[in-house]
Amino acid sequence: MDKTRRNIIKAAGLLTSLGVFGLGYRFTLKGVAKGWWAGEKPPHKIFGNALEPEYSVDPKTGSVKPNNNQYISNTVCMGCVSLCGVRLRVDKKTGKVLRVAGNPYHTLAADLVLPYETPIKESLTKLSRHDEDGLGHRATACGRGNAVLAKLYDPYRVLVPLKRVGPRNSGKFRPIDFEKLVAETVEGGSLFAGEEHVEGLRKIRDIKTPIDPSQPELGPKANQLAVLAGFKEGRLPLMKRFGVNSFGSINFTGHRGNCGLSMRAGYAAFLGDWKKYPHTKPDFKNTKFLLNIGTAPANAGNPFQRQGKLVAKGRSDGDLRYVVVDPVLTNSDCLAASDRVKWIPIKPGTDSAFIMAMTRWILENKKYNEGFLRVPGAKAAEKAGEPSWSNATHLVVTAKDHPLSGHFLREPHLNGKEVGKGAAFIVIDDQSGKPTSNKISQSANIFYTGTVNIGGKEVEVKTSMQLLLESSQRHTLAEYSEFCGVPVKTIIETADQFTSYGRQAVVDFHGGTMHANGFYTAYGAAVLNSMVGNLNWKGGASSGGGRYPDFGKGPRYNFMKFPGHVKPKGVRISRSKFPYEKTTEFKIKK
Amino acid sequence: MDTHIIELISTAGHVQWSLTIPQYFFFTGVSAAAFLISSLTYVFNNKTYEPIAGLSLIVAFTVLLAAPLNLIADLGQPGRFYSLFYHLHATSPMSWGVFLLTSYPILISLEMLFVFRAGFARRAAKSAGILRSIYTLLALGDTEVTPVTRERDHRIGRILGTIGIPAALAVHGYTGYILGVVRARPLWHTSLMPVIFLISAMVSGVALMIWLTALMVRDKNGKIPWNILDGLGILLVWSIVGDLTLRLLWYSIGFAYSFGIFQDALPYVFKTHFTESVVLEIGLCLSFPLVVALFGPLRRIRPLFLFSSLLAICGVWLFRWDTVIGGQEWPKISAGLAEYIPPLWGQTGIMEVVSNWAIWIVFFLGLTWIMPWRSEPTAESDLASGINVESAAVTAKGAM
Repeated sequence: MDKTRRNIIKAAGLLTSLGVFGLGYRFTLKGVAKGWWAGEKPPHKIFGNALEPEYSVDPKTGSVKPNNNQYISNTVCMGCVSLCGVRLRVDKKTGKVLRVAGNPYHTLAADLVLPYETPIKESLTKLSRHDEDGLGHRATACGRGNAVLAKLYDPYRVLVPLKRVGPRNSGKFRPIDFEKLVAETVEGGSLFAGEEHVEGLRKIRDIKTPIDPSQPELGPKANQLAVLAGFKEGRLPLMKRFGVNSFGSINFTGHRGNCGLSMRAGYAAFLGDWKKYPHTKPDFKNTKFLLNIGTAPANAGNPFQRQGKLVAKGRSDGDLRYVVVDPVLTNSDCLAASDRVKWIPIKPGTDSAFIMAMTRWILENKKYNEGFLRVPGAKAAEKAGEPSWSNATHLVVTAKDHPLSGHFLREPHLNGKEVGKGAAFIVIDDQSGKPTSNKISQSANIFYTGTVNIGGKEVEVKTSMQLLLESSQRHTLAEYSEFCGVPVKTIIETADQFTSYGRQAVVDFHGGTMHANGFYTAYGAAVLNSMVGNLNWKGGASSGGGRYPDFGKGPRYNFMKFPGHVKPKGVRISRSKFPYEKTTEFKIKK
Repeated sequence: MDTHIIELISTAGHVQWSLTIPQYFFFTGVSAAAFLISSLTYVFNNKTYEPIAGLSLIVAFTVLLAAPLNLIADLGQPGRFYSLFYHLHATSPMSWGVFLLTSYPILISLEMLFVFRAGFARRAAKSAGILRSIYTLLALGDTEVTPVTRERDHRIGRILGTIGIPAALAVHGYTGYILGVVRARPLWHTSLMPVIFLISAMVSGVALMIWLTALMVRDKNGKIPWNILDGLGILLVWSIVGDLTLRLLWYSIGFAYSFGIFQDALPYVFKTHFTESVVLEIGLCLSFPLVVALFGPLRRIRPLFLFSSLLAICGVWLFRWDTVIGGQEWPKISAGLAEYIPPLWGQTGIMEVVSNWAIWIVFFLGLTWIMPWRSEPTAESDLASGINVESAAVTAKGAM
């Protein structure tokens, strides 16, 4: 190749390359050409289009310099049922809320809470870099707490009374005068064009005349007023005071079956309290192993921020490990969390198979807390230093043809007496080996199959624990695994882990049992807690610590006591808290 | 049960360091390797690689001109790249890089001036007018070529080259350092990273020099100097052996004894990116060139040797990609793995990398055109005829 030809090729290559460079780099070159701002130039070169701070604090002296265009308002967020304290920034000119942050005085918003006596000005210093106080006193509002601000300025927010003007579901409303609203509601009349006469509250308010004399359990006419309330944001008792205790209607619906009823029923069965429907929560602060079934820690069962902070702390600084059994992987697990967190994907609605598989493995491998389970009653528990006891040792009549079949054997059964309230349960005492009252026995057999003499006849009985074992053995681990899609190995690993932390392990299923078999799932999961005997133990499942009354007798007024206070009668329209079988409706339809 | 994670709402977890970063790492690596090859002659006085010493120096210089452009392209605000110069962070390896990237090319260009001075002096002697002035200027105003000046140029070249070796190691080593210090990226967080980067850079640098030698350098008979290529082939063998050994140490210690997250991350890389990281990178692009370069009979099948060298270049690029992008696919806070598919166009698109190669070609062709990098006449011939223009011309013509 001669030199000229070679140089031509080189030159051509050089020019082509230059062209390719220009083509590929045009985006970068354009960006460089635009100078400091390749994109849109924001109002401030560092803070961009962020809001002006509501105040500023000198990090050295701690002196507060307020922003005269804004004011700060500490209040409570109603974004969810947690009701965290929030700190609002309000534009003085427009009165518009600009932003939501955490309230440093509020336990649910801050970890290191400021005493109520702290002046507002000082609280602002405490949130700043002065002495680096802001790190400890940092108060937060969650993402929802921030987003809920949009509700305030929602164009569809109802700000005046609206009356339907079209047919039902037509979505046609028009604003009416407040006085008119009161008048029409109280007096009734032909309120809707082309529709039947509507009875007003004045006419309905009759606490004597029955709605239907042939169905007396429906109660008086006053029950025809149904009050649908929101949630416990403070005004709920006032609504109840009006609808139930003044008007006299039984049909007041608060929270109830709308949310988490299966969980509450599962706990009611487990804790033996069908009146108050209590439930437990994990002791997030001290637990070492948290098994979340159908939920993620702090994703159900308020207060979310507080639980979230405790879980985050436990996971990073503490010893907390947790497992999330859920078809959906939420933000509760990530690969970077390493082995502190494990997500077990499961087929929706099959959690009970997973739970029963765990139960079977725990029972067959004797990984349960035997000492706790052998405690038969309250007195024995007190002596053993146990804050609770279970019915693992209690005998159940299993003879199929016996009238007591399926029932717990009570002390009066043995001597043919009527079973009264608080009658003792029968256990097989460890010392004597004989059927004994659970009020007397200190420790009893948990796996017993045999007979007990009832009214002169030997009748087959088994302990509850034995029945649980048999129930769990109705399927093999492989079958359970087939149902729920969780590998046998994972089930065993989880059961093994769960029973390896003593009483500092806990199952939580708040919010995750809303399927048709939700009650059984919830009950089964609660029973797992009794396998490690963690009820009210440090790091276990804790019952509530009580609360301040939000209504009732105060230092000056008693809102609950007034002349004409009514105790409503009848069956709720929802049939809750009343056996449907006992209604006339049921008897007629039967 | 299908446990493939699809994130509907992801809080974070994007791949932030784009395609341009592997390209940047690749070019700084080539620069370091090419500089070391040139130093074999200029510092250690090795005669075998003398014909390609100047070419290596030009390669080291030109890739380093092209490499930082990748960093500018990767910036969201590319117009602000210069602010790095007046924001020194003494504890940040990235800040060190800014100053290495500035001082190292200055050092190479000084070295080039001294090692090519005699050549410029000769060109000045045989040209006239403006060209003569330019060549005189490039010859640092001294158009004399005598054993004394030759000795002086060699001495200064050696000193600059000696300073240049740690600088070259640093300018690429710091890129590995940048990755190694990131604790949040399990795949990167190893002290071995700078060394692995340097050794794999040798693989790519040597392989690229094999190609450039085959394309640009001819011996006295106008043939490809296969003896030099064979020497480079052996250098390639050692580099690949070093690379594979370090990889073995990294992976085995990491997998068997390191923190849990690495033990999760590594199988992920090997499983999810099996084709790229195992079949292509370690198999085809490292082991195959190793076998070809190691065995004489295979190496002497010249097209095969050249092809395997090309594969080695690709393999090192792929290693940069697998490490930089693969390392970022492992999430920090999101549940699933981040996915990254570079766009064709745009500031950090595939075409940016192609363009980066293109601008290097521009620099390379330009500089090889200007610089008197080809074999110089011997000292004796200089002595005999003062300035041996003819000899230089013959050599030059022979190479065409």
